[in-house]
Amino acid sequence: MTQYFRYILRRVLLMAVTLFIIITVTFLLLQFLPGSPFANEELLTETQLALLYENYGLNDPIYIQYFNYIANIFKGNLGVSFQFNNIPVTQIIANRSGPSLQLGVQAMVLGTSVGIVLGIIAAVKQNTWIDTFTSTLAIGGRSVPNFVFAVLLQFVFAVVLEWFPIAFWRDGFLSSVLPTVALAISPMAEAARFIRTEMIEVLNSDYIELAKAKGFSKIYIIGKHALRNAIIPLLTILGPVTASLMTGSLVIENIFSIPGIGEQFTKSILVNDYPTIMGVTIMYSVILVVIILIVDILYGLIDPKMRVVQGGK
Amino acid sequence: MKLNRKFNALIVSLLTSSTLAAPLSTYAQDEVVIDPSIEQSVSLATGGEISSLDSGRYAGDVPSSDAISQLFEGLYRIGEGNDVELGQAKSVDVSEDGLTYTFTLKDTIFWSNGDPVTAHDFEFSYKRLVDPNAGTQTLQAVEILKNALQIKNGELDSEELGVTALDDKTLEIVLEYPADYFPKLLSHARFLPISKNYYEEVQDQYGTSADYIVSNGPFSIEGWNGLDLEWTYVKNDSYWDAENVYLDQAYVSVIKEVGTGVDLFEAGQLDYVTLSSEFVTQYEGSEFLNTVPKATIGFLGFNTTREATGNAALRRAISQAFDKELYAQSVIQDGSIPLNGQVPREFAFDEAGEDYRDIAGDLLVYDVETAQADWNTAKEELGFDTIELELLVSDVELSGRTAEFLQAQLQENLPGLSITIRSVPLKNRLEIQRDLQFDIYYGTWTPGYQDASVFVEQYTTTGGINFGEYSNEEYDQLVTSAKYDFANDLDGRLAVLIEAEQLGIGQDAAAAPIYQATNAFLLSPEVKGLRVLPFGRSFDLREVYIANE
Amino acid sequence: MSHTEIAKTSYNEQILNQTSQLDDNLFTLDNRMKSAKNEEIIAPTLNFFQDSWRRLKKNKGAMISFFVIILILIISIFAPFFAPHDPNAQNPAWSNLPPKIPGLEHLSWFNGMSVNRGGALIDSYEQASVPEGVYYYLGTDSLGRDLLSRIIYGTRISLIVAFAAALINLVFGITYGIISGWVGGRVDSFMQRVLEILSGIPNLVIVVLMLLVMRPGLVSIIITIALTSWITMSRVVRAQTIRLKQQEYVLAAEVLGQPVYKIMLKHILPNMMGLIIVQVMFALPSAIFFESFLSFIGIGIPAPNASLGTLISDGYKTFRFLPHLMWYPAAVISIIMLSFNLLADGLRDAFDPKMKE
Repeated sequence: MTQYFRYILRRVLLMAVTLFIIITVTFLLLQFLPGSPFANEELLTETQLALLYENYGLNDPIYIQYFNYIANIFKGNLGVSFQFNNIPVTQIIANRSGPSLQLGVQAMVLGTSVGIVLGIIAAVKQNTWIDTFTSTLAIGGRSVPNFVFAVLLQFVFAVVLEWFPIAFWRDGFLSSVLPTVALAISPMAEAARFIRTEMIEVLNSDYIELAKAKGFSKIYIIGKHALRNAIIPLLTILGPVTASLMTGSLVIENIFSIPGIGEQFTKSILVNDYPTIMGVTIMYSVILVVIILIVDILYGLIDPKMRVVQGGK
Repeated sequence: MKLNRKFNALIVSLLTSSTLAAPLSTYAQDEVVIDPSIEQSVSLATGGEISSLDSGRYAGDVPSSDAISQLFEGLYRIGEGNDVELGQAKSVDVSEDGLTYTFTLKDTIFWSNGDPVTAHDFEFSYKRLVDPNAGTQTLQAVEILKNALQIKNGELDSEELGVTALDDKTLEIVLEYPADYFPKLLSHARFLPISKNYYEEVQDQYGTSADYIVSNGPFSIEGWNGLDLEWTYVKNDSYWDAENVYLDQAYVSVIKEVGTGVDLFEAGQLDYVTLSSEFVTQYEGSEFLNTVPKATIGFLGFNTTREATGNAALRRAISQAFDKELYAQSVIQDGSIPLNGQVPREFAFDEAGEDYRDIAGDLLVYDVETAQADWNTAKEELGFDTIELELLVSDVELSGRTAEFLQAQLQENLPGLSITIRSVPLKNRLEIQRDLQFDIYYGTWTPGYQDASVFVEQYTTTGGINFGEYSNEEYDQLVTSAKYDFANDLDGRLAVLIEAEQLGIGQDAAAAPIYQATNAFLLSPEVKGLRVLPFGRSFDLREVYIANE
Repeated sequence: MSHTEIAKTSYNEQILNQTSQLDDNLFTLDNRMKSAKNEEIIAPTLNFFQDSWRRLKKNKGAMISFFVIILILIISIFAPFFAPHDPNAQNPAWSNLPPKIPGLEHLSWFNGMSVNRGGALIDSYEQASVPEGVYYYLGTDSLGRDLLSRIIYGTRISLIVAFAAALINLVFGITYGIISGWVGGRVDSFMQRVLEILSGIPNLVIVVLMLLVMRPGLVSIIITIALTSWITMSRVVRAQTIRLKQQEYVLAAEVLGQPVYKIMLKHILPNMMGLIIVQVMFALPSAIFFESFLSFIGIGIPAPNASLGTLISDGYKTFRFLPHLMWYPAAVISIIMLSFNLLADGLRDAFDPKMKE
């Protein structure tokens, strides 16, 4: 057990290093981002521009800016936003992440669970019309950009049927339903396809035949053996799916007028609000890296073979 | 209802006239009868978040200036017919040469925390505005104040600004040159005052949330923490004219998708929402649709430092080779009209009230023959048969479609021309323009105050939007002369400006005007007294009240 | 010749008596047992692909999809022949017309009528003064361009973007994944760390950066999309490689001295085909969506060209009263994706010899 524990510890340390490198690389990348946060419809004189840069510390050589930034991170200070005058980036993140995270988690949970169920049904009833039907359902969800669903859902369920609010985040859970469904369609489709493929392969393998021969019920077989093996590849895509939810949320948040961070993030990039870009990047990276860590840990738990390979022992 | 129709007529005249009549008219409001059973609150949509409530620091964005304009009041306030009338000031004395304004402030003006509004507040605000070390963003229009330009450039200290508080209630402002539009300028969001005492208390936090400002205007704000997508304006009881403010609250929501906004309007959850092109066509004929001319112009800017676009004949050719009427009608579709000149319609008038545009005539009209003649001249002078030019646009509404339209029109009417389109985010585009890395760009612009000079002076060598570095000595001279030599002679000044415009636009095509915009919006008929303005703030809520049809 | 002594029992007497009756003529060659014929295979020889094709043909869904895809490919490659109008020819005066197809005008979808705000059904073509005989089968967009033509050309561009991006994705992803998975140990750890770092940086930052520096265009968009999506493929490939590495036939091949690359080509890759195909099938719509997302924020395929993504991006905002601008491009994308996926499923099943038939 201690060996496993040490493995986890090592992974956590590696995670910290990874994070550090990500921050550095992003910081450097931003230096190349064309455009300036102070570009104004009216020409600023050289002096004015120079003074603005000075005020925001953008005139210092890069390594000084970098060190200042890293030092500040340890103090918990992520800088101040350029777009929202003088509002600390930490405040922006704290204020806006809530809705996005909630939507993200809900969409992930809803999407994967429905997806898994669909995938299992499709695999078990392979090549029957049920298979084609559920597969089509899943694929259909993946064939059109999610904002198409968003406007459709909004139209049908909010405007016409009036079951849910049209927009805003005022009504608690109800406000999150439609956006969650719209966001969940993509993970659902991916999960369904993956599970189906994996399950088919697993269902055809020998030990399943053995289990069937032993007389275990189908459900038991699926639950205990097949699922375990099929889930593994699913875990690998969990990370990227999370990442795609982040971009996916931009349009959805726009359509439903939700005060989330997806939209804020994209806007920051487009207006060169460096501190906000860095801050949100760090947040995303932390989430992503933590998810990958969890995936690795789960791998170790589910597939003992993996543990050996991973550990290299 | 008799009252209703009368007020309707008033609204119509309010919304469509913009005369430069005697700027200091007092405003007599018709008797407004409020039905106590009707809730006096309104729900509005706005297009984006507030960047700051600090009149000196906000990013120049419309949502912020709209918010600031409801919460603060300057020396003048918006009155009848887009005119201004005295607001915080009780009276004003203007010197003979038009350079010195001495204001006496009212005794009944207070900040929402109880402090009286003093001349020191104004002095503080304006000095801060021009001080490059204060982190404020300014308007080029502040250069009208004495020494403002030198202070902005760091040559003089901000104490040298021509704004002085002679005592608690007397403010003296000295200008660089006489300007009869100065009162209007003072109602612009940038020129609205900040409480000196309060600012010194909270410093950098000022304007970052509803808890960190004090208002002296008709409303104060609640529920805004700096990042909210929704907030409320609440009637400010310490406002000197509070008894004539009928609205109790105004709920504002940020809506970024016009479709969503329209849905909410239809569902009765919003009373006011602005529309974009196709939606306007959809609502044509509807009682909810309102269109008001806006002083925003759409135009093409040319990079005069490059060989091809440095040629006047080429610029003229391009300026005349696309159908502005077709564009306005079929592409924008919201009631915008073609613009043939730098100064838009219904914006500037002479002493007799005649529209500047009518006097000056049309410049660079759509005319394929003339365009092709100019084009051939350009070909000869520059020595090419085919040429490729890049059109730079940014991701603002309609710019994509505009670019495609122009590309098709120009390529068809000017044989040998091929246009490539480059679309980048706005900040990026502005930076590219600064660096002179473009051939042609498409942009829109809204002026800061109402006078023909604001448009014409943009193309002086140091002009605010003169990214293409058009420079003509004669033009500069004309503009300077218009500024300084015609203190009280409006007609004379306009004549000089018209001459400059003829030169810079008509002849040299420093820019190619395309259209002037319209504000198209949906409004609930129960909402009365809403002023929608051609520039500056989008709307003014001071006189709004709710009544039945 | 020596005899062994045989016991003189009655049983033995019987046998000895019988065997003396045997002679050479009793033994004839059984033709059925001719060795040549023994080896004869009753069914014709098929290689791997022929075998898979045979299996594929049995899957109706997959076959239909296959032909649909071929059809779409033909139409988009030969777009100039199929498109009724020039996709970039503008007619702003005839903008936003609903679909109208001669001969199908009795169907409300194709009669060129639309409902105006007042609720009345009006002939939009008449209102815009469109002359008789001019038809826009799927309507026009906001600049008066024919939607059908734009969809055809748009499909072409979308497919190019998708395939190119998927190809790069494939090559990078598989190579990286297989090497990482096969070599294992430190090299694997290192490679995975690098991946983590790369995937930790938000896609958006990288993409916007690259596009703003490189200028949006077909090529830069393809490169950008490919570069940000190969990571998933490599992860999946690596996971499978690790699993397959343990299989006996792989170990056997190693022992037998097969060079590594041959093992990879002959054993590992084919067994991952199913998963790879599924991955690619997901990479395709991903690419298209990402492109439409880019155009949503303003840095997509530059005008006047359009892709299915940009068409949908433009159309969804007004779908309430101009439904054709959203529905038709969306339908086309859906059909393409559906076909690809059904075909992919079919291929996956066909490639797997263990499949029950």
